[in-house]
Parts: sequence; structure tokens; C-alpha cells
Amino acid sequence: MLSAVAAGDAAAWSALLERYRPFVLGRLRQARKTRNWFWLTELDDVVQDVLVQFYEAVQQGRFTYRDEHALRGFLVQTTFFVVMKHKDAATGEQALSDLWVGDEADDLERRFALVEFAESAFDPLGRRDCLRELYQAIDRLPEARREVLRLTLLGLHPRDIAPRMKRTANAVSVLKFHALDELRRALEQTDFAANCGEYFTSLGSEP
Amino acid sequence: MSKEHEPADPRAWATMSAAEAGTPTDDPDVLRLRRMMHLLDAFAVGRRTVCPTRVDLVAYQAGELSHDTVEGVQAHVAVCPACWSDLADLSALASPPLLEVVVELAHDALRLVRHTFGSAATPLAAPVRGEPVGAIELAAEQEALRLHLSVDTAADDRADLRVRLNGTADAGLGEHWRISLYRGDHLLESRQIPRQEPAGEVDFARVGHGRYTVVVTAAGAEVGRLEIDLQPAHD
Repeated sequence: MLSAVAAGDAAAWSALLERYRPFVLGRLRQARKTRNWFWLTELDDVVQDVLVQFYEAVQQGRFTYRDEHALRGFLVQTTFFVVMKHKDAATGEQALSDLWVGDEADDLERRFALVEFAESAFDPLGRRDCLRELYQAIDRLPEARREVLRLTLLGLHPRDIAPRMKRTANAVSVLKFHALDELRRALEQTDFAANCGEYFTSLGSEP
Repeated sequence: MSKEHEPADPRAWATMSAAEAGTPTDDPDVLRLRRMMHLLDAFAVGRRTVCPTRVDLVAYQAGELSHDTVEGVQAHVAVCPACWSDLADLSALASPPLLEVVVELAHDALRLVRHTFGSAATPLAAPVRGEPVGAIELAAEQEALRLHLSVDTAADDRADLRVRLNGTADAGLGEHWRISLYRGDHLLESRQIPRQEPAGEVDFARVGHGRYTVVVTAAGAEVGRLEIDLQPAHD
């Protein structure tokens, strides 16, 4: 059937859609429920996108049939990448941790430890040393200042941090101000600006 | 602003508010603060600055990475909430549906090869020659779904497949099940049955030996799949 699809047989493509559309939709529905993907509303659009990508992969020879298991695996992976695009779009509109729900949110926030994260960093673009130096400097701040910046690194705004730290949003803003000020002074004592200054550049030079 | 919510350090609060507002300014304190905020943002977890790519995560989940890389991904995922969350999303998609059953019919007996139910998968009825060779009844406790699968033999060594389904499911899944029988890629039959008590039932009569897939859908989504291998009976 796939070779017929690759040859442009419309009837074969329709048969393939009938066979695998329920599979993709079923997996999506189940995963959305399991993972609380409240940000994923248009499942039909996702399914359509996945199947179009599958069609293109067959047409372009990027997918060749080995067995049913491999085909379903390919569809699952394609679905994952499409869903992640939606997740990234949702992350752009809200804090990363807002996408996590319930006990998982608490668990993931606790899981994020500054030094351990820095030590486990992948280094595709040589940014690991800068990240490590920054995170270690944050980790050396007094507890409340460290915590407000740790939560900021998770994408939380002062209004989100306030209930977690049992303070008002205004108090969190003030705390964050002092935390950033102390962090800046700490980094000025090191070679951070010389080694990692590129991360300041988009805002221009120091007045 | 109420007294309770009044910031203790009004100048710090005002500088922070101005920095977050993003309006043009030449106040050096605000600009300094913005540079620090920009720095934090560049290394925020959500930026995935130092995370494995999602292609890496897919390869990791599929067991296709080298030993060294696996260890690196493992160590990172353990402390990175963004990657942990992504991997959990992938695992959820890769998990088979609630109802997934693989059975074999051979030597006049129905054998349960594997299933996705944590418990309560019970072969029923010992096979007797000339009688139904058996049935497997499975219950998914979380979703109150029940599946009853019967495979009957006939005198000419061909089998009838009988699929019975009952239970409840999400309201969004409609009022009917659709049960489709495939042999390989080919759809042989597809029937729609009401999702009602005591059970919806479909018979696929006198199918020959071979590998079959029974796909159960509701409102267009696959909710269950049975792979059935019917092999010749031997005396």
C-alpha cells in the first residue's frame, strides 16, 4: 500500500488514512489526558499535520516500510514533534511551569537544582561554561535571593513566584531587584563578562 | 495600593517595574537591570540552551544512542524539568492504548501472548474439541472498560472471531464502537455497534489462518487493538 502511495495513488492514500488516522488520534487523545495537555485544543489539526508529514516522508523516500511496529513508531515520533511545536508556542505565552499540572508541577520545580543542572548540561554551542558560572553564582546567593532567581529561570514571573514564596508580588519584585543586583556585582568579580559577554550584547553597551 | 501590598523598598520596586515594562529609558539602573534579566532569560530552562535536542530525546527513548550519550542524556533528564517533561510527553504518546491484546490460537487453544492490562486478564473456558476453544476476558479497572474476546473453531478448521465490548468511556467518545478486522494491510470488515450494556458484539465469521488485527475505534480515535494470530490446529 505504501509503495502505491509513493507512486501517487490517491486511493491507496485514502485507505492509509482510514487505517492510521484513528491510531494517531487515539494516541493523541490518550496522551493529552494522561499528560494534561490543556494547551492542545485542536487535535484534528495535529492529526492532519502528522499525516501530511507522513505522506511527504513516504513520497520523498524518508520512510520505507519495514514492519507495522516501525510504521507506528514513525507516526508516534512525528506526532511528538508536531505536539512539541504546539507546546513551544504555549510556552511562549506563559511560564514553562504553567504547562505542568498538579503534583508533577511541584515535582518538576523541586527537581530543578541549579548546580546539578549546570553539571549535567549538554554543550552543543560552547555555552556550558557560561551557564555553569552563572548558575554557581546564583547558587551562592542568600537563600531567598537564590530561590527567586531559580524560579525566574523556570520562566516564572513575580506574580507566579509570590504564592510559592508566600510573599506579595511587590515583595517578590523587590527581592528580585536585589538578587539581580547582587548577582551582577558577584559576576563583576569574575571573568564572566569577558568570557560570556555576548549574552549582554543585544541590549547595547553599558551606559 | 493597600498598605499590605506596599513594597518595602519603593525605589527598588519602581526600578524593577520599569525594567520589566520595557519602555525606552536612559536610566542606567534600569538598563543594568534589563541586562541582567536578559542574561537570565538567555540561560532560562525553557530556552533549552544546554539541553539535548528533541531528536536526541526520541533516539534516547528508542534506544538508538551510544552508551556514552545515553548516560549524558540520563543524567541531564534527571535534573532538567523541561527535558523530563518532554520525555514524559513522548512516553505517553508511545504508550499503547488501554486495550491492546495479542493472542494466538494454536493447538486448539487460545493463548494470551501479551496485553496492556495491569491485571485481570483471564483466559476463560478450557478448550474442548468441537466446542469454542476459549475466550479471554480482560478488564481495565481505571476506565471501566471490559473486553471479551471469543475465538471459535469450526469443523473445517476455520475460526470465527467474536469480539464483545462493554463498559464506559469518555463522553466525548460517542455512542458507538467501530470494530474493524484487518488481515495485514487489508480491511476485511468494519462494523459499528452501540456502546451499551450488556455488551456490543461483533462476529467475524469463518476467517482463515493468518495474522489479524482488530481495531476498536470510538469517535474516530483508536481506543483498542487486538492482534490475533490464527495458526492451524494440530492433532
